[in-house]
Amino acid sequence: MKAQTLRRIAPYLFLFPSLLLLVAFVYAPAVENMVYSLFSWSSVRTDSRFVGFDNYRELFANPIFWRSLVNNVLYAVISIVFQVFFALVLAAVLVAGVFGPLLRNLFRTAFFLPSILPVTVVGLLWQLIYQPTIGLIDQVLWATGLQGLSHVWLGEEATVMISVILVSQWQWTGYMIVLFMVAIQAIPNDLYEALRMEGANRIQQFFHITMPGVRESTLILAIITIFGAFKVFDIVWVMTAGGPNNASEVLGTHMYRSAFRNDVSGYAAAVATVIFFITLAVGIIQIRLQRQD
Amino acid sequence: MSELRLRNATKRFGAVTVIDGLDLDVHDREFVVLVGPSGCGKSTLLRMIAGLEDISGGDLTIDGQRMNEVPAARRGLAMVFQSYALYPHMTVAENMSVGLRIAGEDKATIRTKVAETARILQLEALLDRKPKALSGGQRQRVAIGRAIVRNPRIFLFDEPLSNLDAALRLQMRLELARLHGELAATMIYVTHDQVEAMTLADRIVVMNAGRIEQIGTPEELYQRPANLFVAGFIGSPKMNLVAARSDGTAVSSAIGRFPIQVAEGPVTIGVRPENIVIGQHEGMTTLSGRVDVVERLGANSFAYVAAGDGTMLTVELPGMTRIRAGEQLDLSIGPEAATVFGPDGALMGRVPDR
Repeated sequence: MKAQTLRRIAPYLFLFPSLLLLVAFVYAPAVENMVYSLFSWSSVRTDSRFVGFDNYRELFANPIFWRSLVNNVLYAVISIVFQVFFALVLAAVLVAGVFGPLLRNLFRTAFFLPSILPVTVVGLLWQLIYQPTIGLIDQVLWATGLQGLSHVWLGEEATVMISVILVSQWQWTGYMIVLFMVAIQAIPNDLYEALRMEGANRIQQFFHITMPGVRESTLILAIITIFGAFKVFDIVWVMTAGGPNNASEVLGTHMYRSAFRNDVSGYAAAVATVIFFITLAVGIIQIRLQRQD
Repeated sequence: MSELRLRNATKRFGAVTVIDGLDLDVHDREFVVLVGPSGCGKSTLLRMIAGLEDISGGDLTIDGQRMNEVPAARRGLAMVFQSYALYPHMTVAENMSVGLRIAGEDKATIRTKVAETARILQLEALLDRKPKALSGGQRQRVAIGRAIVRNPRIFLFDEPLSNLDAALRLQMRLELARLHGELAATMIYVTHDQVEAMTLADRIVVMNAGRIEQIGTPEELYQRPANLFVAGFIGSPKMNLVAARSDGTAVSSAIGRFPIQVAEGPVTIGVRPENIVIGQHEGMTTLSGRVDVVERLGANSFAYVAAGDGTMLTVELPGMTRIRAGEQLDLSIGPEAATVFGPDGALMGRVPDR
């Protein structure tokens, strides 16, 4: 083979192995999944029946699906508030040197630590904390005379979803803080000094320099957060499995239960396809926003 | 009126003293250049004046008012950074007006001031551009414009030209000199480039290791360097410095004997390259050497000559000199051309013309 030919095809040779794996395990199954969603079939039988969009009709008529979708949206909104807005503000405070280096590292590590715990451990831990009467929260409420606020946090339809969502915030906000800190530290210090000389206080510096400086990072982290909120499964499954009475059902658990408990695989494939298109739409919005720069 | 005064100014970072008990006066409408090698503390000093670094000891006063504890924004200063520090997401006009907007000036005033500044700096056509879309020189002008808009008591410049290429640097240097006259402004300017210092300054402050080596007009520093450090730092190419010995009546060295009367002991003789004359002349110290290299710069040339014992001398020659490397050259140095530095490096008395 001529050296020139080799040089021309070399990039493709490097890409080939990972592309092959991606096609085999991501793109092909994704397409296959959409095909499955048009069939009525079961994983314990070999035959399947083409039903067109029946699975989708059933899906959109199912109140549990809508409840799941609303829960996912709630998940996304609260996650944006904590993991993007709060995380950005806290990161800015930590970088700004309000605290000394020792305290700053201490806070950063403390915020970050939950993210390295396995989700199952976090789930079990918080199940204990949310436990009625013997759990930490109830004990604190009783000790401070606020027992009127006590709930069976994971057992009541009104509180279960928000309780699980807050666990995710506890686990991931610190991780986002660290990512934002890296982005903020990449902003040249000169800009802050120049604005300081113009008379800007720390809050004005945040709005004039930090926010625009981390705009791209913020966009990407927001998108990742929304993706995560729509794909969430593990923490919900570990803590409540979608209960009680489907009150904490999300699309992920709904899909899983349909496929592996109720054995309506075509329907589950339809749920998966809906999740796919939601995340695709979010992704397209992200690309559009980034192009505006 | 803008009078800046530093008394016994000191800056310590932990156990390290970066600025060591420094006194400096900057007068109204003066262009003062702080110059020195990297690490000499000149930028730190400027940042102390600006209020970006705390002052560890001593006093800073502006117009008689103590400024040590006054926040940077209320000292009435404006600074131009080496990196320009333009806000990347703001247009040129927004960059220039941000300080006024923060101060809550009304929109009409801001518009007038920005327009006026843009006119002075020929930035009118660029007001709606973002810094990304500007050339280095244009960015530099915006950074200066941002300072002008604030109408500061004193302008501070931190190596403002070092990110520009040579041609642009020259152009901006002239522009800064013009601005200084036009605005009748007080300016403190930090650079490591002694050419910038010589061309721009009313007075130069030569710094080394956190101390001031000498303060003076460019002519004073060039003609009468207070010590070996200033002698070596100011002037390009450098002053020739040769070890010598004084016997009380004359100074002898590898490049000859000079009838200069200074205290006995080891000394250093300094001679500027342009003060060495070709040929043997009556009443001058003469020597001979072999030309090592000739650098031709067009308007003038520099010959690097090895004297008898190998001591290297830089000699200025006419631009179109016929002298070539390898030639033997006779040189003369008049007694008035030689400067003598004592064993401590300080300038010793110069012999008056006889």
